Amino acid sequence: MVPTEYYIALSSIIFVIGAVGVLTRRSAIMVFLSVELMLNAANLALVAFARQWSVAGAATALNGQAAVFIILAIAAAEVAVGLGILVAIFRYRSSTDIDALSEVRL
Amino acid sequence: MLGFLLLSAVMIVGAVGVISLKQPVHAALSLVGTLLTLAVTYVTLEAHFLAAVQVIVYAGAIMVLFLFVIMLLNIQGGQQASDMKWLRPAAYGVAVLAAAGIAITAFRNAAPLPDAATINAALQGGGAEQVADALFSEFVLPFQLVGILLLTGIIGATSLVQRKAMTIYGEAQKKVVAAAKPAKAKASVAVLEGPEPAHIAPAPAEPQAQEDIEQELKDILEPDDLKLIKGIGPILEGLLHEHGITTFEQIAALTPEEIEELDEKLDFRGRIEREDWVSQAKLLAEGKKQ
Repeated sequence: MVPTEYYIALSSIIFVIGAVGVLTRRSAIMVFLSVELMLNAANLALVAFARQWSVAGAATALNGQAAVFIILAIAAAEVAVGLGILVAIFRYRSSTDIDALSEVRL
Repeated sequence: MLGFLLLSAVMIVGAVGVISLKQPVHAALSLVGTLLTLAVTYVTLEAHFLAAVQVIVYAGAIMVLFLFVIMLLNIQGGQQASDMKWLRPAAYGVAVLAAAGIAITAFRNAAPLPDAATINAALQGGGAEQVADALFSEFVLPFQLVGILLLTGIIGATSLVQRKAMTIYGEAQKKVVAAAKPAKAKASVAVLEGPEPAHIAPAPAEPQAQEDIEQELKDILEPDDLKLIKGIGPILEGLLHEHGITTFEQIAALTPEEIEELDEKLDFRGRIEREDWVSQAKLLAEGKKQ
């Protein structure tokens, strides 16, 4: 079996790729896709830790997997609201360039 | 180990595709690939229920929603470079550092993996029954809260995409333009059809003409609602008023030098050009005249 640290390394790589996407992409939809990458990287780490913690018994070990389930539901809510905002902004400005969205400033 | 390396290679390639592909549809499909590979990885980690949910909810429902929105709005790629040149290298640098830091910490603090029998006894394959045990005992409160969150999310998303707010805004704008029209029309009609030309009866015609010109002047000088220009809010309008700018005509007539001066004086950081106030003001001024 592959040890946990390999999964953590993989998870951190996916996470930083997502973070780079959030920082460098200008289209709001691309930023959203990158945020999904980051969420999934965190999920992968949680599932890996759940397996590592199986020494502590079933109740403790399965907490990690239950947390992933909760995160999945939160991600679904986030996507629904986020895409709703995106559609509203697109109707108003016909663009999703987040660098141009500076109306709240000042 | 070989299987893990293969899976992680596919996953990383997919993730890099998400952040580097130009077309949003391609990036979304690349993310689907990453998510499916992640589901397979969950299976290798004894989380079978989560693997199924990952495929159904993530790669299925959520990504379909993404693709719907991308295709509905017909979002194209073709992004131009960001104004902040230092951002890209800085982001890559910080990313490499962060990933290396986490990985090194993980490897230095690596604990031996419990043997297969312990893992099997504790997780029992991570089926629906096992996850439900944890979910409905220790996680009951978060579970209920997530339910409320999802309901709020649905209501929020529905109210966000309703057309109502936008229509009200559009109609208010039309009303302003329509209200400006009749006054102008009256003035110009009076000029055209006004009492007989001045050379026949100069004395009576003059006050009328004078009045027309005054009316015209008043219309031009009368403060407009500058907030109709996209990017100007109440605060910016107040600042502009302080500097004697109250009408669309004044903004429409700004020269590039004047824009630069105003930009510096009011600390707008290039907003006038970026949001194209001048051509917006031109359009609004025309609408006012008609």
